Amino acid sequence: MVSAAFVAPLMAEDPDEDILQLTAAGKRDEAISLLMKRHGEGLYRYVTVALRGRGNADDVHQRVFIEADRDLRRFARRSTLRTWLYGIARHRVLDAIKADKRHERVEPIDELELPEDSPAPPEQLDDVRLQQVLAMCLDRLGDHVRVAVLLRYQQGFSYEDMARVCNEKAGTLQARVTRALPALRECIERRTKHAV
Amino acid sequence: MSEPTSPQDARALERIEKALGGLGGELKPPAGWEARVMAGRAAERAWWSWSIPLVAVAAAALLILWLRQPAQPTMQLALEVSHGQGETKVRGDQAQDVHLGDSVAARVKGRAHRALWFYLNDQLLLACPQDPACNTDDPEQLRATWQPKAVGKYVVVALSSAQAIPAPTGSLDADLAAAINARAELLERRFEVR
Repeated sequence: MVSAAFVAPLMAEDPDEDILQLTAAGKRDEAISLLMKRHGEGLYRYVTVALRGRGNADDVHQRVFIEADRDLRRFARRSTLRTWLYGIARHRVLDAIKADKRHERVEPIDELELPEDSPAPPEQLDDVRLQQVLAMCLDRLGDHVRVAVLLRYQQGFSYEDMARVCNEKAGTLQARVTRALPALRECIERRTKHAV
Repeated sequence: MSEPTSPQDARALERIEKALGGLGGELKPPAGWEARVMAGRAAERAWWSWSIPLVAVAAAALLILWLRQPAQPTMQLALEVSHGQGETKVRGDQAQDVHLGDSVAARVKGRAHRALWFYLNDQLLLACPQDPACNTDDPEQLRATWQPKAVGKYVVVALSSAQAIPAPTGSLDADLAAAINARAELLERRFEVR
């Protein structure tokens, strides 16, 4: 038997430690209720924007929490609970996109085409229209690029946490996200004839 | 990682990062979603209960309640390709190419005002609901079925809005810009006819 003194904690204290304590105490209803209350809205934004009309975002969103409830007792603390939850969400989102592609012919666009150098449009785009057309241009990114961009900027994950969510190297994800931003800019300026 | 080449580039990318942070900020899960999750959990656990007959009935009732969610006005675009005449519709990964003679069917669901626009090489071919090829019988969705007559790169654009959508003028970029300015939601799908 290993002494507790020699067991190093796998992670610093989790912001959702209270949920983990409820789970350890067998209070599953309280644990899942608190998980939904704390992360329900943020996760809904992520799933809905990532899916953007593909599949049923409400169903995917609810499915994530049902799965989290089922697996919460086996959560091994190799990441924060939030990171683990978004790992489940990312898988369900990509599954839903894949299932949706069985019902339509889609030409994947992994990288947006960048035009030859041309003068930037003079007028600047206002914030409301920027966000609206950004959603459309985001939709044109490859699925793995889009979910990575959302994890980074919509949900505020560090690249290290994203590496745990996506099961990829942090450097790879950083490069992927960095390449996506100029492509989004080009798409926005081309669609709206305005500068970002 | 490449750095922005000018202060203007840096500002533009910062704006995009900030806009990404606010994306979907107005979205909220539908009312009752937490109760549906609890019902879904109970339905899953019920399979493992010793009281199978009683719990199975309860689980079935909960599942029915869970599945009968109020319809959400989420925009959806679906495409189907039929290869040749009289053949079963082909979907998904098997429908890798569209050829002359195939039929393409598109459906859009969404808010009160919906539109489907088809472009070849960025020039408008067909606009629904105006065109005779469009089917407006179903109040829940707008549909169109048409056969490509030329090889080339096609774009199908689905639009959804709470207010009237501006009629397309013929050029993909100009039409999309007008629709975006009118606050319509958009989905695009691209395919090539060979």
